[in-house]
Amino acid sequence: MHKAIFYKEWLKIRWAVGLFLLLGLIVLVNIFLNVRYGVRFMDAHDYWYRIIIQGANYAASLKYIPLLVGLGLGVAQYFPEIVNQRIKLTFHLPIQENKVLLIQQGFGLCCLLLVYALYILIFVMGSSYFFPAEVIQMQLQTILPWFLGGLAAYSLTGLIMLEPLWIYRVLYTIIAYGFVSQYFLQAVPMAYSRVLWVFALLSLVTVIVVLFSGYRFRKGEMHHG
Amino acid sequence: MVKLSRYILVLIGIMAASIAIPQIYWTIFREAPSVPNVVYSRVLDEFMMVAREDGVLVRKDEHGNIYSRDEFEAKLPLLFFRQLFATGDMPDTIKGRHMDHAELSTYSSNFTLRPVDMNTPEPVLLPLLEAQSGRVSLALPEDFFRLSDRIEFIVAETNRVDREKSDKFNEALIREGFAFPARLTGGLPTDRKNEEEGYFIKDNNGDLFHLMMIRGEPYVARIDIPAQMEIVHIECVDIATREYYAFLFSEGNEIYLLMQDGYQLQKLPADGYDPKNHRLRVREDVLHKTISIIGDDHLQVTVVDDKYEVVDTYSHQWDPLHLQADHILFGWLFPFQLNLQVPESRFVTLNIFRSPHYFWMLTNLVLVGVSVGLLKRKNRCFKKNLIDLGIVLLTGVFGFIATRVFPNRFFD
Repeated sequence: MHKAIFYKEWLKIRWAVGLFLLLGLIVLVNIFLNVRYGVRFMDAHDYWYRIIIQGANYAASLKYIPLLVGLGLGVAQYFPEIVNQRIKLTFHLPIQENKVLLIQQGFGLCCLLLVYALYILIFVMGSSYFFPAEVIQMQLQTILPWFLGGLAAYSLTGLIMLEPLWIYRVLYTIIAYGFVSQYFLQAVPMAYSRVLWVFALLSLVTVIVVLFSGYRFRKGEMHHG
Repeated sequence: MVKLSRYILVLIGIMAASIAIPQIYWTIFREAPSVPNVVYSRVLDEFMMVAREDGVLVRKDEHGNIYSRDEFEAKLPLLFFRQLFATGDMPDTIKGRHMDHAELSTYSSNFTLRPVDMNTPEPVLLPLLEAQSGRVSLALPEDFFRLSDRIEFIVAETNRVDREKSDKFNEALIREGFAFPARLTGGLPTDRKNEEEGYFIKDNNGDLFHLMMIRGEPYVARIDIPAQMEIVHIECVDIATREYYAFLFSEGNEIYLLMQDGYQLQKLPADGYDPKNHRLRVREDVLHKTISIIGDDHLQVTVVDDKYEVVDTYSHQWDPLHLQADHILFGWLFPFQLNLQVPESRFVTLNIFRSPHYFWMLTNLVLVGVSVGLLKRKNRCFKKNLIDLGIVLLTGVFGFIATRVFPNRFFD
């Protein structure tokens, strides 16, 4: 049964996963082409100076990509479910409803983390060609909040999409915007380094919030049906 | 599990609300207190200041006498010498000292240190500029150095360690007794300055060292500091007089100048200085230095002469922030505010600004009453909503919003 659910989820998001892998690859290749240009055709030490001392961030164009992936996978996973309320069928499977939702969410989360891991791997590999370990560490501390923000956005997308009432969808969206935007504050490199673990924890616990909408959806069904 | 998911959402709601709503509040209601700019007049031998009073810029002396701009500048020739020379109003001598434009320029400097300057991510690598290249202008080096368990220069072009140079500098540091790793570094990593003075580095034992590169060779000097003195911050300057290298800040909130002459320490009068909350300004002219310590609700100015003897002091207090109307209204509306970005730091923090007053307790009670009323109207069980009511009681308007947006319907 689990295998079948995984397969169904994979069918829903495989195009999105492929698309985002491609998009990430394009953005990352573009980033390192720019770095290569900076190091080769400007003075390498001037380029380093701008990054290390003046706080320029060569990964800046990556900033909202993890957010886009989180939102995209969330929509790809839950939009088909709310068309004609198809999720009802899922809830009629002989598995406890919360468990089904968690399996779905867990599968999506794994795919999301896999995409992120690939991004970060390519980023670290590319960076270590041009920069020493200190710069890579600095960059990781700078870009990690963006990925954690993408993760929170993914979880909250599920919450918003499964919510049966439009007015609440709007309210959730306002709160979600206020919350997720805290991962993308305008700040100097490494600004999040002291609170990174708090943000990681917050992103982690948001993974289960889809249960709340799922519960309301089922309750709503009972009222209408 | 579903209940837990709801409490997570309520927490997220409270966080988002307690960040965003007070932000909107402050952009509408913030009243910035006006901090007078206090300077010392060698003509009157007293303090003079520019202050904003009821929205109007007022120039006055300690006794409250009002001056026009021209009168004011004429009383402060050491500060406004460029203007006075241009109009021919500059006196030839002040206190028996001949007034020379070039000398006045050399001695005129301004140093400011805000709390945020001490609370900012440090550069992960640093450039060590050549101090005596024989060229007029400074140039950035081809490499950057790290100070881990040894010093290593990494060439930017190749991203490789320059072994030869690293070994040379490493040996020079060890010869002087430097204990790796460095705990604190101060310097001006820029080529836009008059002179390269390298870096001042506190080693793992708490000792202070001076590191420079002179014609490609390492220059390392050990600096004698009092044994009990713990340096917490080093702020280098690039002043034309070359009188001192840097400001040193000790754990006991003392301020020292690190003099260029024999690395001596010169203590500055700065009683009550707290680098976490106060802005420090040191303004220098040919006859004296003016040290200003500026807090939220007070200002303390000390003038010293060229021998660092105190000439005069001035202090001024104004209404503390929490008595301002904007803070009082805040106290009525919100129990606290979550600040991720504060003016005192470039790091993202989880600063909780507690309301300066307790009026919010009334507001919270009213909101609890409203919540109870809503429960009654919908015939909900009072007991099963106790946690929600507790949240509203503690977090006020934020918790009220969060518990409304993510309603508790588990027991219907």
